[in-house]
Amino acid sequence: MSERRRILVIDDEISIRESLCAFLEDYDYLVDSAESAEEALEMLQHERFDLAIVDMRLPGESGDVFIIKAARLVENLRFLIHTGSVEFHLNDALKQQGITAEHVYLKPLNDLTVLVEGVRKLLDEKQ
Amino acid sequence: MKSSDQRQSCSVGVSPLSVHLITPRLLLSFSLLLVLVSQAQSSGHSQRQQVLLINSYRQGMTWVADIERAVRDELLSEQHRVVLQVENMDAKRHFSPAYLDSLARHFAEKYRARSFDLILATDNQAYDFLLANRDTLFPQVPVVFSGVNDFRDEQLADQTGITGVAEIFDARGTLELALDLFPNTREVYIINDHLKTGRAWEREIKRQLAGIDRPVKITYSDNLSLEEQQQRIAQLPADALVLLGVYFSGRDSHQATYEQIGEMLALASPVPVFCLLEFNIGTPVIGGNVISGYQQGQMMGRLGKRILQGEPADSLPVVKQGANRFIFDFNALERWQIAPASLPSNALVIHQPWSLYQAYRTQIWLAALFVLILLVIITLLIFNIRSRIAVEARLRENKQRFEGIFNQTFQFIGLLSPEGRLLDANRSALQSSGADLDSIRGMHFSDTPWFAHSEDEQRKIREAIVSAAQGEFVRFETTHRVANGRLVDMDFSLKPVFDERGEVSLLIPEGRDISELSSALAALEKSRDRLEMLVADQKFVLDNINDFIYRHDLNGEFLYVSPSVKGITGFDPKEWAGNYADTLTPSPLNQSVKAYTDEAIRTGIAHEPYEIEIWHKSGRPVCLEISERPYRQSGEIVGMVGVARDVTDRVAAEKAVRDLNQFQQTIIESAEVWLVVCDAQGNIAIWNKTAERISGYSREEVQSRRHMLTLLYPDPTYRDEVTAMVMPAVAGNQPLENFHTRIICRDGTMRSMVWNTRTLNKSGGHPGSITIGLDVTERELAAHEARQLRNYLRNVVDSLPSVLVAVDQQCRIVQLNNAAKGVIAAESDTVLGQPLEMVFSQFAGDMASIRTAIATGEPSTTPKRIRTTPAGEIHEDISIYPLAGEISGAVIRVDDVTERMRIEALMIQSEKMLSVGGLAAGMAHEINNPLAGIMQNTQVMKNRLDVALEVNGKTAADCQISLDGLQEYLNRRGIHQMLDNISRSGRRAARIVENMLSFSRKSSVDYYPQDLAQLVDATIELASNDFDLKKKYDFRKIQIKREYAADMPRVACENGQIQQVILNLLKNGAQAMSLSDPEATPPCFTLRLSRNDGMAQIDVQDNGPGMKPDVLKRVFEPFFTTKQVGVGTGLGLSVSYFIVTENHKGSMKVRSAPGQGACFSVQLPIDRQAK
Repeated sequence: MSERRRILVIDDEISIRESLCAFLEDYDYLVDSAESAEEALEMLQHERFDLAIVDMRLPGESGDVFIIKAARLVENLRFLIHTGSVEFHLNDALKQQGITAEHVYLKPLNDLTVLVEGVRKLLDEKQ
Repeated sequence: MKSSDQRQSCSVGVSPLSVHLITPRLLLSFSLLLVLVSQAQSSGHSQRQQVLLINSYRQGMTWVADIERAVRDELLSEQHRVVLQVENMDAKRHFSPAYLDSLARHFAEKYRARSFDLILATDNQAYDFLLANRDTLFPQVPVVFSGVNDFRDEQLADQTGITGVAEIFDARGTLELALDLFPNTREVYIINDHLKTGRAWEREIKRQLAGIDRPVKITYSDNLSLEEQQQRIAQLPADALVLLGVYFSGRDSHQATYEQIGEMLALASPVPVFCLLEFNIGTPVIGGNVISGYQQGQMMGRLGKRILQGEPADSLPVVKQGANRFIFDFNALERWQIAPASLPSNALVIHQPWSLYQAYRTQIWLAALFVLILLVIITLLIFNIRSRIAVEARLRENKQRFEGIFNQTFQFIGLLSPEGRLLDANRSALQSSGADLDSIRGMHFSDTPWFAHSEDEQRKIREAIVSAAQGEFVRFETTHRVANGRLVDMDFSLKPVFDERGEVSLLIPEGRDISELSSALAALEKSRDRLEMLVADQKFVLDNINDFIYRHDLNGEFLYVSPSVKGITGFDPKEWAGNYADTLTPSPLNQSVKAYTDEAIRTGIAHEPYEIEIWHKSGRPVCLEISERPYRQSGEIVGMVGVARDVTDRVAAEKAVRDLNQFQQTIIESAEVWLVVCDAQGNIAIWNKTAERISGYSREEVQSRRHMLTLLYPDPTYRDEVTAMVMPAVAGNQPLENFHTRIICRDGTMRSMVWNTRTLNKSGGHPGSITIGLDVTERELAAHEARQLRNYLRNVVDSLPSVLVAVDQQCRIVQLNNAAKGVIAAESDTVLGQPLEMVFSQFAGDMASIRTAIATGEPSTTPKRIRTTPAGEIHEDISIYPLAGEISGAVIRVDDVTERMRIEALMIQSEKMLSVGGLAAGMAHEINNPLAGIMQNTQVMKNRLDVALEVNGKTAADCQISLDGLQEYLNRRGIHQMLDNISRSGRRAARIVENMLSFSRKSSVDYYPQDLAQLVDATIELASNDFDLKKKYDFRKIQIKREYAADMPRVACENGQIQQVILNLLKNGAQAMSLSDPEATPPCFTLRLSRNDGMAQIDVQDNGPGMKPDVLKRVFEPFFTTKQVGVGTGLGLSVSYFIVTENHKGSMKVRSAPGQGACFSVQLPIDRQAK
C-alpha cells in the first residue's frame, strides 16, 4: 500500500457517521466526515478524497445533488450510496456518474465488511 | 146389491098370488111392499144426470170391473136418469207425462161440449190426474174418488167439491187373523213388487206391523224376477205363511194381470197364502181383511148418489175406514181345514158350491107359509061344492046354446077362469094353433101354444088376466103364433064376466088378426127412428169435430156453417154468416184463395186442399186447411161446400221443424269442428265448411270415405293403419274416440287432427257414421314449444349453482333444481309434495319468514347465515322470492358464499397489509437510521475487540493492558455475547422493517419474462447456501423432486420477489419437515411447474406433518406464526401472498391436512404485459 486512500463519509446521523469512520479507519483508510452536503463540498475544495460514502437524506442539499456537484468539482471521485430511504431509486443523473445498483447500500447493513469490500473494489477499479 | 136383489125377487114372487082368494091381511102386507118399490122407482130426477167414471187402469182388470159393476149397481139400478160415461186411462202401461198431457188434451177436446154432474175417479192415477187437470177440464164438477193409496187430507187442502174412499189395506188385521188360524207359524213372508205402488205398500205394511207382538220373523221380498220369487216361495219352511201385498211385475218386467200373477205366486207356495186385495182370493189364496173393488165402488157410488141427490160434496167426509172386509175362498178354507166358525162373524166366504136352500132360504119359508094358507082356503071351499053341483046342471044347458055361436065366429074367442086357466076356445082359435082343445084345456092361458113363443107375451097375458080378474076390460096388442109357426099381430082383449054377486066368474079372450096393419106401422116407426138416429149422429159429428163444414153460394154468402165453427174461430154460426172473404187476414197466403174458389166454380173441378189464414174472434190468426168442392142443384153449380180444419198448431209445428232443421244445418255448417257424415255405403252425406277449410277439399272432391282416406293419407302404410282403426267404429263395433292422425291437406301441408267416429242411429234407419275432427296442429305446436321452453328453463335453472326450491302456499315442495337435489341427495320425484322443512331440515328456522313472504308478497333475504356441517362451517345467503300470479308460493334460493366470504376476508387482509406497508414506508427511514447506528457501532466495537486486528494490539499495548487478558475478561463477563445479541436484535428489527416495507406496492419494479425452471432452481441453490438455513436444517439431506412441465412459457414477473416467495416456502417446508421423524419419513420436496388456464403454477409440496384446519385457515394472516417467538416474524407467508396476489395479480393456495404434508400453489398470469 503506497499511499493511504482518503474516504469522505457524509451522514447527518452521528452514530452512523462516527461508527463508519471508525470501522474504515480500522481497515487502514484515511477517513474524514461531514454532517451535510455543504460542509462536504467545502472540504472537497480544500482537500483531496478518493471516495465519498453519501447518505441521501441530508439536511440542506440532498445526497444526489451533492454527488452531481462533487463529481464536477473533483475529477475521478468515486461514490458509494449508503441510505436508509426505502423509496430511493437511482436516477439517470446518478447513473451517468457510473453509479449502479451495486454501489447502493441500504441501511442498516448487517455486516459492514460488505461495505468495506465494496470500497476496496471501487478503489481498486480506480487504479 | 144383495138387498135390492131380495126386493126384486119378492115383487116377482108376489104377483101370481095376488088373486082375490088371498086373505085381505096378507094382501095388504104385500101391497105395502109394492108401494115401497114403486116409490123408490119414481123418486128419480126427471132430467138425465151425466156422470163420468175415470178408471186408472184398463177395463179388463177384475178390480176395475168390480168397481164399475158396483158403480152401475148403485147409480143405475133404480132407474135413475143417469148416463154413465166411462174412461180408462190404462196407466199401468202408459204413464209418461207426455201421455198424460195428451190424455188431458184428448178429454178437453172430447168433453168440450159436454158438462158433467159428477166425476168418479178410481185409483191414484185417475185421482192425481184429476187433481192436476180438474180445474181446466171439469171446473166446478164434484168429484168422488176411490181406491186412493197414501191418501192424506192435506192433498185436498186447496180443493173443493171432492170426497171419496181411501184405499187403506189392513195388513195388521189380516196377519193377526192368519196367525190366529195358524198359531204354529214362525215366519211370515211378505210379497210386494218393486214398482211405485209396491214400494209404497211395503212402507205402509212395515208401519202397520211395527208394533205387532207375535213370535214370528217377518221378511219382505227382494226385487226378484217372477221365477226367482216363485222359487223363493217354494222354499219357505212348513211353519211359514205368505202375505201377498201388491204384485204386478217382477224385476224381469214380466207382466200379467194382478190376479194372474198373484195366482202364479200363490200356486208356488207350500204354505198358506193370505192377501190384502179381494181379486187375489182364489183356490191358492185363502183371503184376508181385503180391499174389495166392489166395496170401494159401492161406497164411491153411494157418495156419488148423495151428491147427485143434492148434498154438497164438501159435507161428505172422505171414507177412510170400513172399506175393507174379511173375505175368504171356500175351497182354500177346505184345503187348509179352516172351520168357518173360526172366521170373524162378518166374514164372507165366496166360491161356495150353490145350494138351493142357501140361495132361497127366505123364499122357501114364504112358500111353506103359502101352502099352509092354501090348505085353510081349500077347507073353506069344500063347503061351497054342493051348491055348485046344482048350478052346474043349469049351466050345461046354456053352454050348448052358446057353443053354436062360439064356434062359428071368425075371431079368436075363448073362455078362461078368472085365474086364467083355459076352459074353452072356439074353432077359429083351435084351427089357427093346430092344437086339440083337450090337450090344452086347463092350462094357464099364457102357457098355451098361442103365446108360448115369447116370455114377454106371456107376461103381458098374465098381467092382463090379473087386471081383468079385478073387473077391468083390458085391451092390448100381442103377437100370436099360428100353426105354421108364423107370428101374427093380434088386437086382443080380455073381458071379465061378472056373476050375480058382482064378482068376476069368467074371462073372455077375444082376438083379431091385425098383422098387415101392424107390420106397416112397425116399418114406419123403424125408419123414423133411424132417421132420428142419423140426424142425431150427424149433429153430434158436426158439433164435435175439429173441422167445420160450410156451404156458401156463388157470391160467397154462407148458407150453412156447422156449429163446430165456434170452437175453431170463436164465432158462432150466426156471427159467422157473411162473405167468406170477411175474416181473411192480409196474409199473402190468402191472395190465391179467391182464385181457387173462382176456378172451382167455373170448372166444377175441386182443387187440392189448401191453407188459408183467418182472424179468430179473439184477434189471433188461425190457419185453416180447406177442402172444398162445388155443389150442384139440378145439374148447375150453385155454390161451394167445404170442410175447414184448424191446422194452426200443425203449421206452427211445421215451421218449428223447418226452423230447427235450418238451425241444425247452420250449426253443422258453421261448427268449428270438422264434421263428416257418411251413409251406409260410405258416401259422404255431410262435409261441412270447416272440413273443407282445413283439408282444402270440397265435398265433390272427396266423394266417399274411401276416397277421402286416400286423399288425406297418401302414404299407403299409414292409410292402412288409419283405416284399420276407423272401420270397426264405422261398422258400429265401438266408437272411436280421440283418435290422433296426421293428414295431408290439399296444399300439401301436414296437420294434426283428433277424431271421434261413431255410427249413427244404430237401432234402425240408416246405419251411417259421423266423424268429428278437431285441428290440433297449432295446439300441438304450442305444446311442443311450451315443452321446449320448459326444458330450456329447466336446464337454465338446473345449471345455476344456487340451490333453488319452489314451494306452494302450504310450503310443500313443488320444484327443485339439480343443485338442490345434490343437497338432499335424492331424486326430485320422491320429495315433490313433501313439506319443505321435512326435506330440507336447514330451512326449519326459516319457515316463518317463508310464510310471511308468501303472505305479504315481499321478498326477503337472510345473508351469510352460518350452517355447521360435518365438513365445516358453510356460509349461505338465503333469498325468498314470493311468487305472485296464478300459482302462488315462493322460490327459495340458497347460495353457498363460503368461498366468497373467504376471498372477502383475504381482501380485507390484503388491505390490512397494504396499510401496514404504507405505514412501514413512512417510518422505515426513521427506524433504519437508528438501527444502522446500533448495528454499525456494535460491529465496530466487536471489530475493535478482535485480537486479530493489529491496531487493537498496538492500542492495548499503549494502554498497557494485555489484549488477551481483555479478551479473557470480556468472555468471562459475557460482553462478546451481549454484543452479538445487540447485533442480532438489530438485524431482526431490520428484517421486520424490511418485510413491512414489502407490503407497499412497488409500482416501479420491473417485470421481465422469466424462465420459471431457472428461477426455481436458482432459489433451491440459494436455499442450500442460506446461512440461517444451513445452520438449523441440512438442506442437502432433503430430497428434491422436480416435476416441470415441458412446455412452460416464460412468465413476466419480478425475479427477486418470486425468489423471495419460493425461498420462503422452502424455508417453511424444511422447518415443518424437521418436526417429523426423518427415519420414518425422509424429508422430500416436490416442486412442480405446470400450466393451467392461462396461469403458470408453481407447487411447493412437502411431506411434513401437515396442518390442522384451524392453522390452515390462518396461514396467510400477517403476524400469524406457529414458530417459537424469535424464530419467525409471522410475516413470511403473508408477504408471499401479498407479492403473488397484489403485485403479480396471481393467486396463492394451500392444501394440507394433518399427516399429509402441505402443498402451496402459486399461480401467475402468463400473458401479463411486462412493464
